Amino acid sequence: MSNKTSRLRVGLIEDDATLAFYLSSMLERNPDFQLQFKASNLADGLLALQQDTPDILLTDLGLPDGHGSTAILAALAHRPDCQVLVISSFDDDENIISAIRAGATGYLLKAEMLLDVSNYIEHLHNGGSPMSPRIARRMLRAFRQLDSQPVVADELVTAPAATAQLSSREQTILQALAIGYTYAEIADQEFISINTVRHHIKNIYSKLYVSSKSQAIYEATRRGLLRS
Amino acid sequence: MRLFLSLIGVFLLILSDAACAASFRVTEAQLSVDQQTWQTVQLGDAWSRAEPARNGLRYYKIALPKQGLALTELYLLIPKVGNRAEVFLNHQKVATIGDMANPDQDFSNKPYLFALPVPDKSQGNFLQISVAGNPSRFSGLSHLYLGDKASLTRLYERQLLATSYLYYFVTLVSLVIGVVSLVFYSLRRNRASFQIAMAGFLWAASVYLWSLDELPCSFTLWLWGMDIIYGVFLWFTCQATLNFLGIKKLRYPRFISICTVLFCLGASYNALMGAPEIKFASDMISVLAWCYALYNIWLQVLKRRTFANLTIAIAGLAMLPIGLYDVYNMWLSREYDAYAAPYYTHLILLIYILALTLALMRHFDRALKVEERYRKKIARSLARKNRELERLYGEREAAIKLEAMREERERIVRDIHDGVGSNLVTLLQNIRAAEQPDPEIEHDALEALSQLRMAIDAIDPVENDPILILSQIRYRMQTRLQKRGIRIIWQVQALPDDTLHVTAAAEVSFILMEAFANIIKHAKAKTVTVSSAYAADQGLCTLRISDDGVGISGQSQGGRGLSNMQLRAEKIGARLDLQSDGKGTTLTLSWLVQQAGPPPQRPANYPLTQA
Repeated sequence: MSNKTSRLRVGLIEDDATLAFYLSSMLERNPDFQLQFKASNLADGLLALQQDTPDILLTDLGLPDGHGSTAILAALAHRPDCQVLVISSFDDDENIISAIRAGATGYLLKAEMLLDVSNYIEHLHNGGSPMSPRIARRMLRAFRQLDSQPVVADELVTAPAATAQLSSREQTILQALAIGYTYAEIADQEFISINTVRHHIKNIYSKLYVSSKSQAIYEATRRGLLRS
Repeated sequence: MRLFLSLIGVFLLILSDAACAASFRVTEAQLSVDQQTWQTVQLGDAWSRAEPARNGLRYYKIALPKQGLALTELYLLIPKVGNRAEVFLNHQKVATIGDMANPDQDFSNKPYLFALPVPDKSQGNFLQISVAGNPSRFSGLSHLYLGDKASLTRLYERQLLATSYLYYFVTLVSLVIGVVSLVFYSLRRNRASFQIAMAGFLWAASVYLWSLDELPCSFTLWLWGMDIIYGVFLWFTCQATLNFLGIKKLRYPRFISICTVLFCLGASYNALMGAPEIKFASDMISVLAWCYALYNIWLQVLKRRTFANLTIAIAGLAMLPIGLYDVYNMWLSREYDAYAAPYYTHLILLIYILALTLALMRHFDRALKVEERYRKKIARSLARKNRELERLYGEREAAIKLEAMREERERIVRDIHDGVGSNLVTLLQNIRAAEQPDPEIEHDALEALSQLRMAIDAIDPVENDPILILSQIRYRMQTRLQKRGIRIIWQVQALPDDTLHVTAAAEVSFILMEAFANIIKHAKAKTVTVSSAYAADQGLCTLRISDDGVGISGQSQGGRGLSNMQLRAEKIGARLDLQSDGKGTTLTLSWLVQQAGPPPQRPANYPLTQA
């Protein structure tokens, strides 16, 4: 783990100078991570992503010259396996769900970092803060909406409902999260490890992203935008 | 209908008239124009137009029978004499009917009853009657009756009923019909009712003129006027029938109009030239018009067999034989006492327009009822629509209010995020970045940040699911609970959707937060057990938070917080139970779920607590 080559390369896009400084110094102190670039606006961030896409991208959403979701799209375009975590002041669902739809696989809360740095590093390792019940509820609803979309057989477009399907385990986990159970409690109840729970959650995030993406393509096709 | 029956009664009375003649009847007389030469004639011959009407003065001489008149009183009944007459008994004038010298008088419409001086039966007594006639109208002398007062009075009354009384009656009823129909017309602007009104008035005028003894104008003018009135009456009656039955053919009104014009021309010619044959012909034209109308009425009635239509058709059909019977008696019969047959035309035409009026009234009655029904239906439907509109308006208002509340909450949450929230984060960073961080200040700042996040959750519950609210509170407090070594036993299960009204969510959020805050601050507990339950049969939702702490009595403070929680529970109609002893505290929040229908509008009423 302490091997230089095995260090996870991290890109940071954050306009708040104090927080950016705080984060970058924290990353530099940690042997598991390597700060690849630090940008204070979207343009710089996009440029850095184009040169070399990191393993993990940490990005704020409200940037002075644009929205952080542009950076998410760019990172995933260059490197589909890039893990994107959104830095947010609060786990206010609207922003986080839209970030997940754009491709984020988790989120980190600024306040949490200030509350407990070691916890924050752990979250960074584990793919973001634990999913709050409110976000779990929003995710459940988002998947239900995707499921209720019409399934149209089309040679060009795969019907989004097929990808929107959560496995029954994922469904159980999401439902348990929505009624307040912790990762550890869920792991106990389901007789799985806590890491498996985290793995499922990462899957759930990416399923919503993939579904949202195919939903967007499906919608675009349906409206004839991609037919050319 | 009652009126109709009484008219039939009058009819029957008149028909029984002939059978009542009891006393001595004179049917033969000596007739002379110059009182020189005399010839024997049958009385009553002049009433039949088979013979030409008598013009000028005629003298009738009748010998009173020697037998059969053993009376102490002697009465003479003349059923019909025209146009004027004088009666002499043995050269002594005993009665005058009209002024012999005045040609504009006609007394032939009524019977006359006179008391005669009782003559000496030993001599041959004779009655002489001078009659002044006019060829334009019936003139001559009918059969006579001689007898006692009682039997002749009875006969006289009967005949009066068939003449004068009948005229008054017909005039009156026709006027009533006219007025009623005119009222109808003023209400409904229906053409048929106007025409019936005109027919009623014209017929009243006609019968009134006919009943006059002393004419207001010359005889010729009077007769002509009556004919013209009859002609116009005929036109109005036929047109009214046409309009009422809805006959659209143009041929029909045209034919009636032509007949009317021809009839009027014939009557005028008769008035100017004195030609009874032309008068007869024009009368026949009017009969033809009636027949044609009747034919069309029946054609139409067979197509639309309603009660009103049938009434008109039957009345019209009944008119025909009776009218023809009148014409026969007046013009064709060779019977000398044909005069004695009552003259029905007045009555039957009245009955016809009466039937028409009744049918029209029924028609309007039905139309009014339909209109009333329709009006009520519209009123009902309007009321329903109004209620619906009010309901929709109310819903919309409520939705707008909720939306406004939601927007306001979002705005506040955003403001807190961007304002106080980010300031607090910056403050915490600065504290951390300081050379020597003050742990107390840092702790206070962290506490403030944590409370702010909870406050945001409370302001913006997003969902009205109490379990989500509870879960979110746990999620927020997890770290702080862990730091104090408090273990949570989470025994929460999902509740059905919409157990809580959206406006109650904030209160529930506050109560639960307060409960956790109390545990952290005062309870000194090791374990907190949180559970939820839903009893579907009672519709009862329960949230329970119990700890193994020191209990409320052991706490240093908290009374105000508890009463505040109680107040909030009451406000949303929920029940808050608190059980506490030295071994711990159990807080139970429960409420009844409204089973059916949307949540009530007033915030005081949502989740119902009534059993």
